[in-house]
Amino acid sequence: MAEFPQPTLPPGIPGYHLYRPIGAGAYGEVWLATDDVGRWWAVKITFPPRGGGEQSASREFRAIERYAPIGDQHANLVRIIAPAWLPHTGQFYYSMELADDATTKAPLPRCSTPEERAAVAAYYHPRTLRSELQRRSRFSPAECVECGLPLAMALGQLHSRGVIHRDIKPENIIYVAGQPKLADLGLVAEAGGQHSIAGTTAYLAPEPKRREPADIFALGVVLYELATGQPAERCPQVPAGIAQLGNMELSEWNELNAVILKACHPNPGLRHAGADELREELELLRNQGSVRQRRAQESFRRQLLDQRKNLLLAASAIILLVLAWSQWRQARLNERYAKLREIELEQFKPHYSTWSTNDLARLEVLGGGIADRAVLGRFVAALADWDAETRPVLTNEGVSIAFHPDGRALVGGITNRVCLLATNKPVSEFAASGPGVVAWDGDQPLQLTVLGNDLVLREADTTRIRRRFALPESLATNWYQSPVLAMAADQSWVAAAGAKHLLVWRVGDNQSLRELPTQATCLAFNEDNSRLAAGMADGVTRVYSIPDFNAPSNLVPATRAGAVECLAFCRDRLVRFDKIGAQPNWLLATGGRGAELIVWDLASCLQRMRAQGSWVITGLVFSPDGQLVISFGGDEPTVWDAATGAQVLHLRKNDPGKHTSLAFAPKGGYLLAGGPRANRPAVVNRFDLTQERGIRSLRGLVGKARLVWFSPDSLRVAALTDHCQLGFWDVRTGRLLQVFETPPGPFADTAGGCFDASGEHFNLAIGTNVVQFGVDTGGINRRWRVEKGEANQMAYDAAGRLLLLRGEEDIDHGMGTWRLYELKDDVQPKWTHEAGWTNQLPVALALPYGAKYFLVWDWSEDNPNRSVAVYDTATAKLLTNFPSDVRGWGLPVKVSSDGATIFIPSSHLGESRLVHFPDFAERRTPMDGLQAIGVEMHQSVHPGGIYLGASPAERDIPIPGNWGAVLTSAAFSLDGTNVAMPTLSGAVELINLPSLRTNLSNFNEVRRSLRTEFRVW
Amino acid sequence: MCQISLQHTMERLMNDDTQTDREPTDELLPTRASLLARLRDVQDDASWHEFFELYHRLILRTLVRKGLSAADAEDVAQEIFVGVARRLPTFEYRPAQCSFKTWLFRILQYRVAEFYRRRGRGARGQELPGDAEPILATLADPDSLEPDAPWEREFEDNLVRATLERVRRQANPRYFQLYCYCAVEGHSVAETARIFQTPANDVSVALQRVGKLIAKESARLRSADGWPGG
Repeated sequence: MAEFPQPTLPPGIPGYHLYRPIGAGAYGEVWLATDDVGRWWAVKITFPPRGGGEQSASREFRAIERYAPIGDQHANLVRIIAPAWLPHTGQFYYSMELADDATTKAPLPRCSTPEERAAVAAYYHPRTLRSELQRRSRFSPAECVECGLPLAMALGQLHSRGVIHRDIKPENIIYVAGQPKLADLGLVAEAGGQHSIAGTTAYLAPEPKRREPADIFALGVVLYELATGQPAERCPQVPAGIAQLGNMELSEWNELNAVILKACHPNPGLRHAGADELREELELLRNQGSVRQRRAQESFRRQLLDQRKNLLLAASAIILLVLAWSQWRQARLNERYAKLREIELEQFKPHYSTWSTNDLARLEVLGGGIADRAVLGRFVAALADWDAETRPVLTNEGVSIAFHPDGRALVGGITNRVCLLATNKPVSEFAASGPGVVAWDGDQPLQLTVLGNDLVLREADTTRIRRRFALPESLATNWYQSPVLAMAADQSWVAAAGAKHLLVWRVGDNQSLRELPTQATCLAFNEDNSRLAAGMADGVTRVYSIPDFNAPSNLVPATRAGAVECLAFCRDRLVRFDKIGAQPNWLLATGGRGAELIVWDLASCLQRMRAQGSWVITGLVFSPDGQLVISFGGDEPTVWDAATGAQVLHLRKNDPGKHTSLAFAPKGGYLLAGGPRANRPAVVNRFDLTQERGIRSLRGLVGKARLVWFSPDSLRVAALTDHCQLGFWDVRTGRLLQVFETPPGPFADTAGGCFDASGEHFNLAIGTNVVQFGVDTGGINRRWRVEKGEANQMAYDAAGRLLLLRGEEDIDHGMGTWRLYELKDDVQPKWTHEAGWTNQLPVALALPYGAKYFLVWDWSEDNPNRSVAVYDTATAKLLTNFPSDVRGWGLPVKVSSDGATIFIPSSHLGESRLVHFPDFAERRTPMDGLQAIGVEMHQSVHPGGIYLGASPAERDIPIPGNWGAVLTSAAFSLDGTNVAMPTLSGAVELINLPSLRTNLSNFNEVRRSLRTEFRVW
Repeated sequence: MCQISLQHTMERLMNDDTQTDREPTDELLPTRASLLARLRDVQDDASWHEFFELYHRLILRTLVRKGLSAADAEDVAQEIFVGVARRLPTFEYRPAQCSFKTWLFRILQYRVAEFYRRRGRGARGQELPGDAEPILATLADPDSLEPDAPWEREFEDNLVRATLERVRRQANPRYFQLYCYCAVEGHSVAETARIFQTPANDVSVALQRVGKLIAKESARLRSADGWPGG
């Protein structure tokens, strides 16, 4: 009592009689009082405000005002009567329900006399939760619940009205008529109760902001105190006596403990979400439920939900990632596509124009890093091989096309028109009576057509009828099925085929009619009018020889897949070694519904080449020199290698019509294609085929090409394959000149050969044969037999003598020998010099142009590394010997095309040396850092020289014919402008260096994006 | 070592509030330098509160031990806090000469002496407690300004108590409860698990987590926190 401010006298409160103070708080005192009718009240009177305290007093006043109506609404909130100010003092007061008396546990009795009241007031002691706690050490769990539940409800009510208590503790919970009630805002304190900082901090939640959760915390601590009897400071420690509890009691206690611990959690977020949740849990306890079990269930449910949520999140994250990735990839592809498109537009338009959009799409993928070898190969082929451009030149069906030798073309259609084309443009148009075959007779355009019941040959421009052939009834009356017509190139023969007959007329005398029992679907004469081929519906092709037409050859494909639809003749340029001088042979290409393209050798009636398309072939044409055959039909027009059947190029058409009639321009370079089309106007397309990118593919040989030679005038190139075929091409035009079958030899790549000075003759040493071929004549000029030998080199020396350097290896003894022959006309050759059996391995010999010296690989048992021995040709004396670290079959020794430089190889190319002849001055090769697998030189000592090398990576790239593997035997032309490289596909890649250089920068730009590089020094 | 002594003290403080004689540790506990530094600015209420919480109880107990009544002790404690607040702005922390602990003890001694001087023997008719005699005797002795053994022990106890209070106000109460029952009161894990009807694993987790917290808080309270170690 001494600690309270001492009230001298009971203050005068209107309507109340005050007896004595029964409690004090921070703001005022609580007096025991009666009202006029003798009811007991507790009257709170605030202290007079000290300096600056007026504001807090009025704040307090407002809070009480706000609380007053709420107090009435809940049985467990103390009721108060609205506050009122005391005059002049700055104090205010309010009255509230009086707590029960602690001793009697009942409300103070109403007394009638003031004396009685005074007597009662003297012993009154308010009954609070604190006083209860002091009386009994602790509450049972059930009692705690009974006490806590109404308090939680009251707190809920308070919070729902936005009021926070802030000072819940046992002292502030009073009993009114046996009911615990929350007294207001810490203003009521039991008299004598301590109000120290230590006393209240135990109920203070740790968080700095005292909001609703702080009230829950305080209520939790109160419950702790009730349940354990321990001071609040010790929360949440349990008393030692708990160990004595039985199982049932322990269980009850633990349930309550769970509620208390949650309410007392230091983290406000982990406490009960509100007083209502606390109330629910207490209610559950009252109904003998288990809070812990319910929480476990809820937690499990929440976990389940969380798991689902997480799964959903993860799934959507993955989807988003994938979307983002695909977007990014698409963007990257688009970028690359744009770049490639740029290159295409600038540089490669002619190539791409022959490619389908599908190819371009695949190229994009390629640009993105996924190497599609087929596309890559074709991409390089676009540089190395043909340029092809397609454009329509004429709106006409073009069922028949004939070229004049001067380049003009005659196009006959089914709509009574014959057009004359000069290069690209139609120059004149003539009326015609119907569809038919066109041809030139000198400068006179002719047309073979059906007129009434007759087949007529008329002049297209003048419409004058030259000849008239009566058609038999079976052909003439079947108008729904036009007869198939054919006319020999010189108009000496005409043929017509219908439902059952094939009729042939010699034009010179109309009477000479031959009726052949053949149901032909297509007809063709060859160029020299010696053959007539008739394709039939059963897939067989009959070839009649003219003029006897007897005993036709039947060309029967292995698989008779369908009717033959198109035929094309070509002169066979292959000269068989055993049939030199025989009749020229003809090749016939057939195509049809079986999508098979077959090239027949008419001499043997065997298939020379077979290629499989994927759809019907409706038209076929050979290039003028017979290197290529081009098929039209359901597929994209395709260019094939006529010798090997390798697919060279797809041509892209502007319209999807199936061309049936085709004609190559007589000088090559382009072809015209036409044919009838259903429902749409037909066009005649022009397909330009040129090789102007710097690299030409020379075709016509079968087998892997091994060796190449240039003629001294650099105008011709020869190549030898291991199928014993020796081909010759014109370097400037790329035309195939001749193909010889050579005598058989052990290995094509040990053969030796050389052109003579004029380039008209070519000498080849292979096996035991040395043959001189006439390139222009297609015959054999001379032939020698030599003794057994393996490696051969041939050259003419300065005096015009033909020299043959020939080596032989004794494998058993690891020794070898070489012999040098001079070959003279019709004289059996004898060697002029011989090495005898030595340590020298003549597997690599070199007899350079001019033949001043020759080279031999040297080897000894002491030194396994090889060296290069240089001999003088005239005296066969050893001039010098260059060591090398090459062992076994390494890089071959090479000599520049002019013979002035010798390449001494090293196992690492960067350490290879170049030696100048005749002074043998040495210098390093400029190939450092490049592991070239092959090297060729042209006048290579001076800076202007040309080297050609390739890195091994080239071998991984399917460049046409696999250049890398055969670079070892490439050759420079003597003028240094061309390099010929034999390839494994049989084609010879002819690289025009000046032209390539201009294209190479663009080429390499593309190649770099394909992660490889091609270099020419 | 520190952890064991901490554990021991904690056990004592939690279970028994009576003082037991114990050898004071030689270790000079560095008072948290940051707190001291902040106290220089008396306006910093939070620092004051922390400081008050940390040392109020220690000072009160010591004063009572020195023979003051509870009310007098409260008064003198107030004076001491005001004095500290006033002196701190000029206080240079020189651990080599004098730790905060010693410094605080000296102030306390001065205040006690001053209290007795002011009041005088038997002033206001109030009898001095029986043990006041030796206190007054020692007050004349300059050596009495060196912290005595009970002060050392009280100071140590106070820090442990503060540690525990801090942990109590941070830890998951469930874990704290388990920790106290098992580690502090010395029950087995199995027994704890039985009483609280919880898996033994829970108890282990509680031991681990609360143990960590205690170690952390203890280290924090004892750290020089920027001041050189005392």
